[in-house]
Amino acid sequence: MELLLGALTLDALIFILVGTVSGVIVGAIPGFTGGMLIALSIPLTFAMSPANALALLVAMYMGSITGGLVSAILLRMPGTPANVISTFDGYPMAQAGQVGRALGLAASASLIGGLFSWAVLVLMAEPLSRLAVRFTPWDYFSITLVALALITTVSGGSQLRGLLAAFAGVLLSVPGDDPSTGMPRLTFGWAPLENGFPLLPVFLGLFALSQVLLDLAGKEPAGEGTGGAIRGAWLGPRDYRRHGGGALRASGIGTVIGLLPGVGANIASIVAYALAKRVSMQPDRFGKGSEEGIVASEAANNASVGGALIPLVSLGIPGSVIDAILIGALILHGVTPGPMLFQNNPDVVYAILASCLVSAGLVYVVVLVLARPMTFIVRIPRAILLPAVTGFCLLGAYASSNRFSDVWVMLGFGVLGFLMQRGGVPLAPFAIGFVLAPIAEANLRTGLMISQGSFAPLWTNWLPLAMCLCALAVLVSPFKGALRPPRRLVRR
Amino acid sequence: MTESKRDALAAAIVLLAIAAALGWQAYLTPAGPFDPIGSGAVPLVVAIVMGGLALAMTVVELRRPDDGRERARPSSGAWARPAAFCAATLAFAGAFVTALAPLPVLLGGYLIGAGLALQPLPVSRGRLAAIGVSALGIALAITWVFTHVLYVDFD
Repeated sequence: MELLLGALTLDALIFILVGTVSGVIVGAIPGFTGGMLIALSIPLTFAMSPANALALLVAMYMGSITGGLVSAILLRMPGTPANVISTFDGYPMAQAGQVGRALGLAASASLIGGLFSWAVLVLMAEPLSRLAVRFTPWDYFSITLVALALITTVSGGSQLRGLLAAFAGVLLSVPGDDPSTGMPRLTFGWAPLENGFPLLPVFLGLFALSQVLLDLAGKEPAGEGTGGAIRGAWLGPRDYRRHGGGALRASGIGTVIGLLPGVGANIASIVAYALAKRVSMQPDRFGKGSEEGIVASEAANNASVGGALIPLVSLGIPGSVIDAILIGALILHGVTPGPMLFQNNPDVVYAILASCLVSAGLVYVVVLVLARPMTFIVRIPRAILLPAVTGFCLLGAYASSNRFSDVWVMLGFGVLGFLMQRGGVPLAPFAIGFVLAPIAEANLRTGLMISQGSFAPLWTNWLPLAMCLCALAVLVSPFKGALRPPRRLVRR
Repeated sequence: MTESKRDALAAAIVLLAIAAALGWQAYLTPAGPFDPIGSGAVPLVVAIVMGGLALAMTVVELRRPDDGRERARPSSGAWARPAAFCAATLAFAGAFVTALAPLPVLLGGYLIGAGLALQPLPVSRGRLAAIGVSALGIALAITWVFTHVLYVDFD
C-alpha cells in the first residue's frame, strides 16, 4: 500500500489527469482509437521517467475505452469498437430525452468496472509474477504459444486470416539481430535493418497511419446529434442498488475476458450484454433503451482494461493490442517486461497500478463534465485532422531514433496495415505476434541449448505439455463441427 | 470481381510475397556453431507456414462466390482525393528526408496541401482561409513540441 501511495506523486497525478482527459476526448472521435493515441504519444514520453510515461499511457488507455461512449450515446457513432454495443441502448435513451441518465449510467458502470478489475489486478499480478520467476524457458515458450493461438481464434473474422496475421507479425519481427548470437539476419544487406524494424515506427504505421488511410478510403461518418442540456447524469443510491449487481457481473466477465491475450474490450462488452439480456426481467427492452444493456456493456469494456494488464505486468505478455503497444513503450524506455518487472522496476509497476486506479475514478467525472463540449471536438473536419495526424506520425517516427529510414518503415507498415484491414486480415494478431515472437524465440533457443537440441521438455514437463495441448485445442476447436459425423434425421 | 474480394486477394498476395522474400533470406542464413537449430530455422518454418496460409487464403477467396449485394466495381473518382492525399504525404516525406526546407515551412505546406486535397471542389475563400490558418498553427505547434519539449534535432 505504501508503494502504491508513493507512486502518486504530483507529477504522476498531473500525467494521469492529462492522459485521462486526452484519452476520453480522442476515444470519443470515431476512427481514432486508444491504440492510435498511445502510439502517437510515445514520442512525447521520451523526456519522461518510465514510471510517469507508463502512468500517462495507461491513463490514456482507460480514458479512450470510456470516451467512446459519449459519441455512441449522443451521436450514435461509437468512438471505439468497444462502444458499439452502447449505441444499441444509449442512443435510443438520448432520443427519448434521457441523455443525462444514459451518460450517468454508462459513466458509473465504467467506474465500477474499472475499480473491480483494478482490485483483481492488485490481488493477482504480484503472486503470478512470483510464480512466473520460477518458469523455465520451455514453460515461457509454451505460454507464448497459447497466447498466439488464442489471439488467432478470437480476433474476429476467419481463423485462417487470424493465423496468417499472427505468422506475419512473427516473421516481420525477425529481421535484425539474432537474439542468441547477436549477428544480423534477414536484413537484405540494408544497414538500417540491422537493428530490426523499430517498434515505434511500426506501431505508428500500423495503428495511426493505416487508420488515416482507412478513413480516407471510406465515407466520412455523419453523426445524427441529439441536442439539449444534459440533466440527471449524477445517479443516486437507488440507481446503484438497482444496477450494482449487473455492473459487478459484467465487470467479472470483462476482467476474465481481458485476461485472455488478444481478446479485446469489444468481445467483453458483447458477452456481458448478451448475458445481461438473457437474465433480464425485460429482455424486450434491449436495443430500445435498456438501462441494464448500457450498464453491462460499459462495465465489461472498462473491466477488460485491468484484466488485460494482469498478464502484461506479471508475465510480460500483452493481454490486448494496446498492451502490445505498452510493452513497446516499456522497451523503448529501457525497461524489460516480464516476471522480473516487480523486482527490477517496482516504480513502473506501481505507477501502472496507481494510474489504473486514479483514471478509473477520473473518467467518471471527465465524461460527465466534458460530454457536451466533446460533441464539437468530434466534428472537427477530416481535412484538418487527418493531415495533422499523418504529419505527427512522420515526425514521431523520425524522433524515436533520429533516423530518416524510420520514416519509410512507418509509411511501409502504414500501407501494409491498410491493405491488411481492407482485406479482412486483423491487426491484433499481427501486433501481438510481432511483440511476442522475440520472447518466444529467445526462450525456445535457450531451452534447446539447455536440452542440447532436444524438444523433449515440451512433453516431459507438465506445464509445457498442458500449454501445448491447450494451444492445440484452441486451434482445432473451430473445426470440431467439420470433424463430427453428420447426424441422421429420424422420421416419426 | 467485387471490391472485398479484390482487397482480400491483394492482402493475401502481399503477405505471400513477404513470406517468400523473408523465407528465401532465412534459407540462405548459415547455421551457427553453437546453436542447435541456427538463426534461420525458426524464420524459415514461420515463412513456410505463412506462405501456405496466404496461398490458402488466395484459393478460398478465388473460390468464394460473389455476394450479389456488393458492387462489382467501385464508382469512378472515389479514389481521387485519397490518391492526392497520399501523393502529398509522399512528397512531404521525401522533402523532410532530404531537408529541402525548414521543418515549419515543409509541415505547413503539407498540411495546407493535404487539407485541400481532402476538400470537395470548389473551395470557398472562407474555407481556404480556415484551412490555411489552422494548418500554420498546427505546424508551428507540432514543430515547437518536437524541438522544445523533446529536443529532437531535425538538421
